[in-house]
Amino acid sequence: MTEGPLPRAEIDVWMARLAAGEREVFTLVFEALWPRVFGLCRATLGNDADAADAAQQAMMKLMERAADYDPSRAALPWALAIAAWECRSALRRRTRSREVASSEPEESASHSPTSVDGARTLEANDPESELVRRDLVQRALDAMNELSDVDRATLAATFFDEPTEVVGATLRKRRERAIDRLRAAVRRLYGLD
Amino acid sequence: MASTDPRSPFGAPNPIEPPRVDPDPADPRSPVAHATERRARRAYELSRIRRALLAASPVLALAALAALVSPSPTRVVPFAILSFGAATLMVWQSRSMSRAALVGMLAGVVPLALSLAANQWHACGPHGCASHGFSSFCAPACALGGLVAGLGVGVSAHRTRASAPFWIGASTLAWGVGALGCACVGAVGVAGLAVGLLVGVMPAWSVRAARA
Repeated sequence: MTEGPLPRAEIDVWMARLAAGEREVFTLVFEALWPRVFGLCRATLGNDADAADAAQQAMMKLMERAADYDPSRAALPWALAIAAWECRSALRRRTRSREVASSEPEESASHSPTSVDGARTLEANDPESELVRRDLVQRALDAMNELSDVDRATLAATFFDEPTEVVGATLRKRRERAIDRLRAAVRRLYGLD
Repeated sequence: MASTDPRSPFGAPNPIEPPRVDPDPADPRSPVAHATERRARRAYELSRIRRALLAASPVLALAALAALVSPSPTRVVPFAILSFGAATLMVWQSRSMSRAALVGMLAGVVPLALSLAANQWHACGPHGCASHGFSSFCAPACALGGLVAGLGVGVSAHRTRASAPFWIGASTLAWGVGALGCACVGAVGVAGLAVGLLVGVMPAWSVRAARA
């Protein structure tokens, strides 16, 4: 991946200029956001093909909403929130299609005993641990969406090595608070830590 | 099948040339990223066009009102198309031009309202006015409205230290919207509106030019 340290303040400025209608910064914004959005989708969906689809959708949505971007807000958490939503939708679609696919062999198995092997093969391609992992990722994204931009940016700095405006003790305090709030959000949403 | 490899005349892969590696799709220079950028750019422009059409729709409402009140609705049509097109173009172009469109639209309402009011009271039309002695009232109403609109555009542009395109765009739109009402008076009304607008804009423009 070609992700370098992200010039966050520059992205804010470029995004504000794009929102104001300056087309010449379009490529700069795209090149700054694409690796991050793709990285998030790849981490969420687990493979490049699904990640590419979700990242494409996310970038389309981002650019559709670019004119509505509020320059007083940080651009990266805003963009990643949109991307996270798209990744979650893709995840949901995939889970749903798997459920349909897995229910079909079961149905046919009840009618025909010869298709039991087919159902077994499907189970082997869809390990439980993968589903659990994706479920956890989805829950984490849900909880992240409950947080403020500052908290999201702090957690992004913590878990994705994003540069932040603050360092040292301030960052540590923010991180502690953000993690507390994330924990509270998870508890509120799912009743567990 | 080494002999079919086009890279080497000796039938073996050229050891100097590195094997082709597909770029990481996360790389902004990858084919996926390129295709996405094109689609995203299109989405950006289409979204701006949709917003612009929506933002310019009040012009259509004003045109419909003018056509309803005007004795010659067909004269309103070209100015409606012009104003709607100009407003859409301005909002689509940039945020500063969107502000110019708003200023122009609001400023243009003044001559539009004055001309329509004058038209109603004195039944001025393309063939003159119904009441004797008031036939020359409509054109001055347009000129007066233009003057007020011009002053409005000038003050607004001066306060925000707007660029030349802002002045031109806002003035053009103010003229177009005002002309929706003044069109029924004829060329004199539209010309009077333009003169009033120019005179109104001139003081603030002169200050700007002097500062520059």
